[in-house]
Amino acid sequence: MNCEQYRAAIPAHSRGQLSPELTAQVEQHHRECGLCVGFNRTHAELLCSDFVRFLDSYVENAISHERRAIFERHMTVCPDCSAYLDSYRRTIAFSADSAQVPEDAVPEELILAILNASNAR
Amino acid sequence: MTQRETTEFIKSLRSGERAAIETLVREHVAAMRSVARRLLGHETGVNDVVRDAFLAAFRGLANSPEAALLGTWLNRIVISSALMRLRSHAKAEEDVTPELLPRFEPNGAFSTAQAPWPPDSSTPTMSAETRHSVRACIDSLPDRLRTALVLRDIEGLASGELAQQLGTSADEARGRVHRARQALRTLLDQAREEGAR
Repeated sequence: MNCEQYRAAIPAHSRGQLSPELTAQVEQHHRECGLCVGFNRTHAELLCSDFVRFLDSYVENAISHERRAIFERHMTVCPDCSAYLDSYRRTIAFSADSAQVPEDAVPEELILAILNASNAR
Repeated sequence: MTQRETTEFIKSLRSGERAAIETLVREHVAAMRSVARRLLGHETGVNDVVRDAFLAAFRGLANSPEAALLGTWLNRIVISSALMRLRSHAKAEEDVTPELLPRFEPNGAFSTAQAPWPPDSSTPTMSAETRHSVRACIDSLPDRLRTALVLRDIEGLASGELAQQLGTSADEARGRVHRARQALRTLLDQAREEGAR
C-alpha cells in the first residue's frame, strides 16, 4: 500500500469498514511510514463529529483564529468533512436562492379586506 | 417620490389617511405575503397572517418609522404574526428526526462516506425546477426548524434578533438553524439522488 492508497483508505478504516486484508495493509503502512504518521496526527486533531458540531460557527466566521486553523488542517486530510462542508455551504446558498420562487398573485380581496379593516379601526 | 412627497406621505400615514394607507398596503402586501408563506410552509393561513400583521401595523401607525425603514418595520411585524400563528397551532412533535442528521461512529468518524456534491448544482445555474424542489424541502421541515432557517438564511436576521423573534436563547436559536441546515442538506441530497435515478 502506498501513501495515496493509505490516505484514501483512512475514512473507511475509521468506520471499521475495510476488509481484514486491507486493514492489515493500512496498519502495516502506518507502522512503516513517518509521513503518514504526521497525516494521521492531523486527522486526529479534530473529530469529524466535532467538525460538524461547530460547522455553523466555522462557516459564519464565529470561531477563533486558532480553531479555524485546526478546521482547515483537518479538511486537508479528511475528504468526508471537506465534502460535508461544501454541501453545507451550498445548502445555505440554495435556501437563499429559493426566495426567488415566484409567489401566487396577491388576491385583490385580501387588499380590500385589509383596507376595510383599517377603516373599521 | 421626492423628499418633500415622502415627508408628506409619512405625515399622512401617521395621521391615518386612507389614501396613504392604501399606498402602504399595495406597496408592501406582496413582500409580506412571501415572508408569511415561507414561514408557514404552506398557503393555508397566509392571508390571515398578512391581514393580522397589517392590523397590528395600523395600531402603531402614529409611531411608524421613516419611509426608508417602512419595509423592515412591516417585515418584522409579519414575522411576529406568522410565528404567533404557528405557536398557536404547535404540535407536540417538533424537532427534526435523527435520520436527517449525520451519524457518527463512537470514534467520531462519519458512519457513512460523504460523497461530494457534483459541481453542476451550484446556485448561479439553479433552475426553476431546482428552486421549487428546494422550497418543497424547506416546507417539509418541522415548524421550529423551518422558521429558524427562513429567518436566518432567507430573511437575514442577525443572531440576537433571531433569538428574540423565536423567543428563545441565542444558543438554542443557533442550534435550530444548524440542525435545520443539516436536515435540509440531507433532504436535498436525497432529492438529488432520486433525480439522478
